[in-house]
Amino acid sequence: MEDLFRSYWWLIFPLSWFVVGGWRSWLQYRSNRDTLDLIKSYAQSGREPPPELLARLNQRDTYGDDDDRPRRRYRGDSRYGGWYQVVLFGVLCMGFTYAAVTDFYGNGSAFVIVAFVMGALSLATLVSTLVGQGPKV
Amino acid sequence: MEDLFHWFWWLLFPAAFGVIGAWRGWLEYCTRRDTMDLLATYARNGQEPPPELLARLRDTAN
Repeated sequence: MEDLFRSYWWLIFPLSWFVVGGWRSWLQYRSNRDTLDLIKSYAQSGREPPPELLARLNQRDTYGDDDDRPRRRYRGDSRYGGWYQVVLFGVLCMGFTYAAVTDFYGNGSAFVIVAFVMGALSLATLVSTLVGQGPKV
Repeated sequence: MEDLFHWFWWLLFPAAFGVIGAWRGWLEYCTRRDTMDLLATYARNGQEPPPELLARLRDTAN
């Protein structure tokens, strides 16, 4: 078991990314459902819901705190968010390519696959940013 | 079992992508269903639904 951990400890990072991504999707869904339930209460009592509540329907990341500060959204609908991910994944790809080529920690072959995944994510984000629709990650 | 993991650990990635994709698809379906349910409430009460709600339905359509 210890040998297994020594060989594959780095898997913790991508697996955590998947788990956290799934958790955030769940929170996003719960937040939207609560917003819809509240609007439903207004509709059932024949009242007009406030415009701020309706504006929440089309926001991303609504499970965060609702203060009045303008929020810097580094991931979202804007082209800025797309380029952030292109650079992020691109640099990660270069880093893992270097690790694969120099056989970092004696695990060069493992880094090859990670480098490919990062490269694919970077290219896909680049294409979707250039086309203008924004990344869906 | 350890040997199996040594040979096929890389399968975790496509499997995880598949599971996450299915999970997000399920959540999007539930969101669309809740939105349609709310639209039905407006229709039952004879009220006009707000444009933001219809925009949301358009955004989450397949």
